[in-house]
Amino acid sequence: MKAIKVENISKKFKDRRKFYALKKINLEIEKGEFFCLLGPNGAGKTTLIQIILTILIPDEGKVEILGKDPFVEKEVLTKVNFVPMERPYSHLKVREFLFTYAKIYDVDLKKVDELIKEFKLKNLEGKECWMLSSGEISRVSLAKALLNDPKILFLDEPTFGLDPKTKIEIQNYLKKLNKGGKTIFFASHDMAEVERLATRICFLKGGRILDVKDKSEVIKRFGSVEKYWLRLGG
Amino acid sequence: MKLKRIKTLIYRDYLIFLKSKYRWLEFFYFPITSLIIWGGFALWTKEFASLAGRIALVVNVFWSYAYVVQSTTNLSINEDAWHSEIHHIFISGIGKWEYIISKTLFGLFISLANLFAMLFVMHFLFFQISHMILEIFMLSLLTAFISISLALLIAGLFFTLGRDYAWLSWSVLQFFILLSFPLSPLEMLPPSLQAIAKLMPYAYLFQAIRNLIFNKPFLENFILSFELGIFYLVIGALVYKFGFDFSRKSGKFAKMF
Repeated sequence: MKAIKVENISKKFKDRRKFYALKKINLEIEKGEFFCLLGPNGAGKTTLIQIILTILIPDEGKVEILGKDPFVEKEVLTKVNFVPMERPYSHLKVREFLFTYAKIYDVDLKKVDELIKEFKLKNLEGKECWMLSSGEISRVSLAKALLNDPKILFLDEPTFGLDPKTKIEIQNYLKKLNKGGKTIFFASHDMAEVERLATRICFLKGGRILDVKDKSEVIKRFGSVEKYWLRLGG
Repeated sequence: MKLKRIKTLIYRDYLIFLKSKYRWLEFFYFPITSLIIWGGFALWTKEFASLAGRIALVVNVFWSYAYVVQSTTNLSINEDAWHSEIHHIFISGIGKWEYIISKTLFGLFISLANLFAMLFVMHFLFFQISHMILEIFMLSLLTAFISISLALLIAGLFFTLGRDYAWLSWSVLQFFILLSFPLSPLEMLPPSLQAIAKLMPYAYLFQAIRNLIFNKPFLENFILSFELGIFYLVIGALVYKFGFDFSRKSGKFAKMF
């Protein structure tokens, strides 16, 4: 059973002159992969993640998460989690925010304390989410995404706009999670970041897949992700 | 559908509500201040048009209560979008019906505080209502029921049209109240307006309130209003279902952050 399977997914947005945001996308992601979607702004990375997570309904095609269609068997979504590009600017305090999602996912509330400790949020737990800095709210967002110990973690440009130190901390943490067996589905336009993290890369542009390759192969044959991206005409 | 998730969403909305200062204004400040203004009018008219003043006062209480129930429900949906939380909620496996049920129950529960506050102020400052407590209770339930039906309709429109239309949450009800002519019997209206008013569940609710003050039977209008409320509930649920699914197709939902 694949972690994620995407078959012939297409999506058009009528309000944008009917252009294809995604056209005939096919992907299969194995369990334990660190899979990166790489592409410029408007490539369709966010759209693809949103379709897999049922935030968007595709015009055609089929999605499977852990062998189940999330549009039909919604409960499969409780086995994954998501760090969107937009951070939550809730009036809830950090502890309340994590606490409510722990209850929604029906997990032991001890998990909230563990994650507060893990992400060094102790001194922030009494602050409302909207008051936090970008780096702080990113940590909160990631902690929330780990509450249900997801089998697959989706991240959409999670380090966008962060300072280098926080960026590296988050990248290292994601690597650690992947080594621990978690499947990671990651969207980014930062080639250095993708090169550092991915085990396999999907090069996406204008809603179409240009290529999907193992990172090791890309590095071996072309020297760097950036060089291959340029060769592909990215 | 899981009861535990609905309870958690209600508790979450309660925590957010406590911290949203503007919601307190919507919830207590505007209803209570307008009640006091109309209370003053009722005191003055006691000498020459006692019933007219009372009608204005009691209608005002139910008008405000209707607004609070509907807007509390819809604003909590708006806030999930404004705070970039709506995607977090829906990717947790929560379904659209769990979501809207939690929002309407939250709107109903929390608005009771507003109703009690307004009835308390009315009873102790302007007009004793202890002799009609059962009728007030029945009319309150009916008001809440109609407002929830409207809240579903507005939620559906919000999802269909996108977050730029958040203003529907605090404007649509006023239009329904306008077309219900709260302070004038339907028979007094020109035929065209009468025809429109007859489609408004609040029109019969306000007629029932006026009859209650006049010590006339009010059950007939109460039942008519309830029946129209059921119609609006069905329409509201359909519009919500359509709106939610449509927004996931059109991309409006994906842009709700």
